[in-house]
Amino acid sequence: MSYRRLFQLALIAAFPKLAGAQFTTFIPPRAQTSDSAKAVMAAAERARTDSSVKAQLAHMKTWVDSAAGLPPAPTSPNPAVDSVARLPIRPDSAAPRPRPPLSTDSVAGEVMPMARRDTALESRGLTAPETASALPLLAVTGAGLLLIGGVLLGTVRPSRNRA
Amino acid sequence: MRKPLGYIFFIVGALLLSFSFGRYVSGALDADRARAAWESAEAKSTLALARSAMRRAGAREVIAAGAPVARLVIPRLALDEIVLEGVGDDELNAEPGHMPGTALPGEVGNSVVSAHRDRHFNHLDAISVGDTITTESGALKQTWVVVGKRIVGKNEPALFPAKDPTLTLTTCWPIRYIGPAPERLIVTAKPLAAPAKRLGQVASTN
Repeated sequence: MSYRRLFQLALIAAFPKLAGAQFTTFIPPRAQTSDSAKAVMAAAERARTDSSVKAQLAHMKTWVDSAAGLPPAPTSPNPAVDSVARLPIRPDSAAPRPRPPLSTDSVAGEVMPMARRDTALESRGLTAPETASALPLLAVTGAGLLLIGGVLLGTVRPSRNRA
Repeated sequence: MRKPLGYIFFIVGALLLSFSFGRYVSGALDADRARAAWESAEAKSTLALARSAMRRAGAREVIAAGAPVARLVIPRLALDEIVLEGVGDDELNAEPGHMPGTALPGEVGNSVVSAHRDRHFNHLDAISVGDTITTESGALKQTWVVVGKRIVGKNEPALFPAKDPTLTLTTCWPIRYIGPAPERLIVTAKPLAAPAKRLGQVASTN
């Protein structure tokens, strides 16, 4: 080891903070990039067989059907590959149920599962609330009576008192 | 004979007009009170705290009739109203009413909000599929898109349970009709995105 290297080491040991400040940047080795064409094909294949994508599409159809008042369509018999477990799942009752949406409605900010809350509604349906108001009818009737009464009073001829 | 008949018509007409006018005025005053209560930050936090505690305890929420539970904004109709709990005469006279036992706007399930056609929903016929609606309820703010609009008989079942958040607005039909309307206008909306926390709550939880 040369005297010069020894002198540098002594300086680093004597002034560690000053020496540490010189090492501020770390450049990681460049990660190997995969072939872009292969990556695109793999992503397309994954999207085609991914159960989560299928679930999204199924939910979208259910969403539109429910708005139109149609019954939900039966599930497809084609097996799909679960992107998490990488196992084929069966469209039967043994398949795991989708998680309920999470609620953020909490003062403490905690997340808890939401249950369905429309307990008053039955599957056979309820009629819409009674929003029929009699006030417009009463107002029109009142205005009509007021007008007729005014006309009747206005057309009454004053009686002549003969002296 | 004409004179007494004229007096009777005049007095009865004045009474009917006064009653109608009085109901409209009292409804407007109640609406102002409901808005003031809703805009009170203390009331909102109390409501959110009570709902959160009841949910944690697994109890079914029972909200007092007439309590402000949500805010309903429909830009197309220039409507910005506070929704009260209940669909009785007094609630609907003041503001749109939330049907008890249905989900609150933004929660999972069908949330039913009704109003009179001669007051808050007097232009609901102008809403179209694709229009947006915004609701605030407790700590949830939700934007909805109208996906359906239909007319049903007043005795026809029109409100069904839903597995996902759904907003249903109802009023009488035809809108311009003197007397008890024979049909109902049903507007269905679905959320555009997942419910977002209100800004105040995000700040407080961070």
